[in-house]
Order: sequence, then C-alpha cells, then structure tokens
Amino acid sequence: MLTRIKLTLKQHRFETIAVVVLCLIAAAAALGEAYRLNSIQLPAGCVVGQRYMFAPDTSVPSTACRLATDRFYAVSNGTDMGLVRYMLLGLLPFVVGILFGAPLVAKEIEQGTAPLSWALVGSRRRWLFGKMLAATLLIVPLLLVAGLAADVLQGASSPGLDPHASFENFASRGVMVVFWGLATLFGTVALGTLLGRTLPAVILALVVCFLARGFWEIGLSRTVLPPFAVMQSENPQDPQNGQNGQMMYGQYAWTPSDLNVYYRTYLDGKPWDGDMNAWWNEHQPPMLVDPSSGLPVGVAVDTGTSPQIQGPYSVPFVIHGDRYWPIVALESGILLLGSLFCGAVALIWVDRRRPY
Amino acid sequence: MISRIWLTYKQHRFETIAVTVICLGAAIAALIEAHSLYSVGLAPGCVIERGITYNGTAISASAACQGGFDRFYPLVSSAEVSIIHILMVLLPFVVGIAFGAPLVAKELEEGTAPLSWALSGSRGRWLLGKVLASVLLIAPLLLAAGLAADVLQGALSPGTDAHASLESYADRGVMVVAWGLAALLVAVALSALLGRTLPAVLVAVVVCALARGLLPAALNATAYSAFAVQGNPNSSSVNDMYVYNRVYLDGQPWAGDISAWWYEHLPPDGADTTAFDPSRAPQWIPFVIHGDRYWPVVALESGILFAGSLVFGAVALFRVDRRRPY
Repeated sequence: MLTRIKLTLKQHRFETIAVVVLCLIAAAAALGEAYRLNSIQLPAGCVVGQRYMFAPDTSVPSTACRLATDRFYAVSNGTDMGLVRYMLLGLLPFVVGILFGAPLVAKEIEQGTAPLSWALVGSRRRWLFGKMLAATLLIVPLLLVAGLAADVLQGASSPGLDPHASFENFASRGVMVVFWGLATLFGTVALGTLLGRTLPAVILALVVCFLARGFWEIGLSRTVLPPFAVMQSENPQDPQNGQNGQMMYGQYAWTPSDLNVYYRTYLDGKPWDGDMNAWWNEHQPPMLVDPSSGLPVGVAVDTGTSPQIQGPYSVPFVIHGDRYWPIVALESGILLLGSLFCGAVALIWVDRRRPY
Repeated sequence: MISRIWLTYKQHRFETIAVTVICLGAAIAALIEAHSLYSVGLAPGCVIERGITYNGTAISASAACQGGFDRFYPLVSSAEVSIIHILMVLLPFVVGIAFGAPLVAKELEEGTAPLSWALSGSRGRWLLGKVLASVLLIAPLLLAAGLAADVLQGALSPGTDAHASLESYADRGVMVVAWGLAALLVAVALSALLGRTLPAVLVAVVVCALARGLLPAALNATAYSAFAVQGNPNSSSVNDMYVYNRVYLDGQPWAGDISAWWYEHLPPDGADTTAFDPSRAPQWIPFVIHGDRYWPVVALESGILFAGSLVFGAVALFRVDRRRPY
C-alpha cells in the first residue's frame, strides 16, 4: 500500500506540489495577517467590533484606544486581508479537493493507462482505495494547518473573543476546512470516475461545490439547526434588542459571534403565520402629496402626531457562539457522511466502468 | 472560418453546454430575485437609503416606511441574494477558464495537434478561429448575465439608477463581459504555454484571483486618485466608490506621522483633559468617486482589461506558432 501511495503522489506530481504550495502559502499568509493585527497592541479595555474604516471611531473610550482601533481597522479592512480571508482561505478546500480529485481516475482513463493499471493491481477497488488514501493523507494535514492558521487569524480579528466560541467565518476555518476539503475530494473523485474526463469533472465539481457551499447554511437552517436556536432577545448582551416594544434585527440585534438560523414573524407579541406583504398592503398609511406639485412625496413620516403602526415584525433566532463545538461536530459529521457516500459511489463505479 | 467555429463548439461540446447552462442559470436566478424585490411594492416616495455608517451597512427608512423596510430588508440580506452576488463574481472566471484552458492544451494532450495544424495550414489562423468561436459564444452569454445583474442591482437600490452607482459595479453589466474575455485569453495563453489542461486551469485560477483582488487597489493608487473627491467623513453612500483616505489637520492636508502626533499631544492618564480638544486632532478624510462617474470608470477598467486580453491573445498566438506539438 505504501508503494501505491508513493506512486500516486509521483503520478500526480504537479497536483501534489501545487496543493502543498497553495496550503502553505494560505497558512503563512493567514499567520502573517494575524501577526500584523496582533502587533497593534490594543490598550486594556479597548474593545473593537466589526465596522468599516471611513473615519476615526468616536465611540471608543479613550484617545489611545481610538488611535489603536483606527490602525486596527486599517489592517483588518485592507485589501490583503480580503484576499487572504475570502479568496485564499474561503476557496482553499475546494481548489485543493478538485485539483487532486478530478484527475485521480479520469487521467488514467484519458491517457489510456487504466486497463494496464487495473490488470496489474488485480482489484480495481484496491487500486482506487490506495489512490484515495494517498490523496487523503496528503491533503488532510495540509488543510488542517491552513484551517488552524485561519483560526489564529480569526482570533486576531476579534481581540478578546475565543474563535472557538464564535460562529464568525466558522465554515472557512479550523477543522471545517478539512471536512470541506475531504467532501470536495471524494465528490470530485466520484465525478471523475463517472465521467472519465478531467475537465468535465472539474467544471461539474465546481458547480456542485458552489451550490453545496451556497445552500449549505440555508439547508441546515431549515432542517437540523432550528432545535439549537434561541430567540435573539434572550441574549443579555443585546440590551437594545427591543425598541418601543418592537423587536429589531439587523444592526441592532446581530452579533458576529452568533449564527443566524431563521426569522419568525410576530404580531402583537405573538407568533403569526399570515402574509406580511398582504398585511402591509392593507394597513399601509395613505400617501402624502406635495400641494405645490401634486406629486406623491412619500408616506407619513413620524413627526409626533402621525400614528405609529405596529405591524408584523420578524424576530431572529440564533445559536450563540458557545455552541461552536457541537455545531462544528454536527456539520463535520454530515460532510464526512457525504464524503463516504461519494467515495462508495466511486468505488462501486470504478469496478463496473469501461476503461476508456 | 464558419466551419472552424462550428468544429470548435463540437470539439468542446461539454464546455459549450456547461457555459451556456451556467450563464443562463445565473441570469434567470438574478431576474427571479429582482422580481421578488420589486414585488415588495414600496410606496413611491418611500425611499430606502442604503448607506455605510460606523456600525456597518445600514438601511434607514422613515418610521412610516417601516412596513416596506421590514419586507425589503430580509430579501436584501437573504442567502439567495448573497449566492447570486458570489455567482456573479465568479461567473466570468469560471466561464473564461472552462473554455480557455482546453482550447490548445486538449489537442496537445490528445495528440491531435500535429494533424490539426497540418490541415489548417497556419497555426495562427487555427488558434484565431478557436478564440473567435469562444468569444462569439461567451460574450453574449456573459452580457445577458451582466445585464440581469444590473436589473438585480436596480431592485436592491430602489430609486437609484444602476448605471449611476458604483456598488458592485465590477460584478455586473459590461464589466462581467470584460472580465470573462480577460479570463478566457489568460487561460488560452497559459494553455498554449503549458500544453496541459489541468495545470493551465490551476495557474489561470491563481492569476485571475490575483488580478481580481489587486486591480482595484492598483487603480485606487494610480488612475483613480485623480478622479476622487472629498467624501463625508462620517458616512458614505453605497453608490460611491472609496478610493483613499487623506489625513487633515486644522482643515489642511497633513503629511505628518499621525501616531507621533497622538503620542505627543495625548494627555497622560489621570491628567486634566479639558484643554485637549480631540476635534483638532488629525482626521482621516475619505476621498471617493461618486456614482455618476459610473460610465467613465467602467470604460477605463474595461479598456484596461481589453488591452490585457489582447496582450495575452498575442502571447498565445506567438507561442502556438513556435511550440512543439506535444
């Protein structure tokens, strides 16, 4: 088996070198950015949140803190940080998984070497198993290094906040990077085995991964995550959560460390299942008309005399950051199951397919 | 030439179908989301302003517009809209690389290049035909997707002309076509240089990611500095494009060391701070380009991308004429 693993890495020299270089660059870049953030030593009690850097922050307690936060935001909102966080770390598991997975079977079929390989090895499944093992042994430690470096970067981006008690970017760091990489690898191996062509496998894998990653949170938020969610208003860290009896969302209630799961509509303080659009169309106040032009200028603005409407409103249900590990374990488990399923499909199909 | 174009589509059947499906899928998804946003039916005059404040992106509305706001906001911040945004960012690169990478490399890998080149007489004409076929396929498809993204942008900012706003301008309209053509010709050049599809895909992904990530920063540091005007230091409209910050002291541009100034003037802990006026400290003032400069900005960036595409196309033609056919 050791020989087969070595042979696989030798056969896929370009992919092996590219994957190693990409992962190490991503890890080094994340650690470099984290170092830049950590080197801005924030004074004690100087807390920074997430905001855009347009002007000095006047909400911080002291001028020393203000100076430090301005420097902090200049780094955390810089182009380098965006490139590292979203381009490099966000895409890394998919690039690595597709790059190594697509040619694993398809290359041998395209180059016509599959019949000889399969005849020499005796069992096609053992042959593919060896290749998948080699790929796994290569990418798991590399992605783990990159994921842990991304954790360090997250910790530096949110000083004072444990990255393992926060859902901010949680799918693009830590062990989640490894499981997304494995799912991509096995999914792409299955596609490579089914299609027998490298580029079509790459394109289809890209589409599948994009859809899977994009709809992952929506899917989980509608199925397995709701039992873990609690009403945002129960969060004691958000004293501004209720305004005039109306639950607010968006900038008032959202905390970066929380995971938004779903919204529930309330009317008069009770859950309500009606059509929000229909309600507002029925109850919306009449238009104001500019007497000089006769044109509508808008609906009534609250000047203290116009009546306030308390219509249906949405309340966010969230999972707090302290549930990080159970949620990561759950999502990783689902990804691992998906990986095993795709691996099984590849093993079954490689045993049945024509070698061209 | 027409038969060569048809032959290219036939040779790259999978890529042709994939590119068509992806572009039309993206366009339809954007139009559906735009329709959902328009169906909120905000009352005329009930303008939702989207701006950037200290606390991040915010939507402000008059109290009586709260109803529309409550329906509009969840749609704007929905996962579907985010996914379409990401799709529009990635689309030109996926399309360009998927079609460009195998254009030369596939023939080299499969060993059909010597025959193709011998039959066509001129390698340059052979490659030109293939590139022309690719451009004729992807340019209209990307334009359709880009225009659909423009419609979505209009729906996201009711009352604002999508062509008078620099919000996400690089991921919609004709910019999608310009980026797609640049990605295509980068991939073709790499394909001709490397002669292998998968390495060409990987290197093209890296080159495109760097170009997409660094071009705005490079333009901000060079060409855009001349166009930028002073913005509001406290907030910024999402229609504006942030270019750079300049430090001002006592109303005048100031080139000193802001850290040194603070260390010099900051009263020590426990000292009387009544004499210290923080408003007279150095201030960062943002310089922005307003949304009404949309077309000049788009023309400039498209021109740069087009020039880059021509360079990469020339590299591919030059290389394919000289390389070994394996």
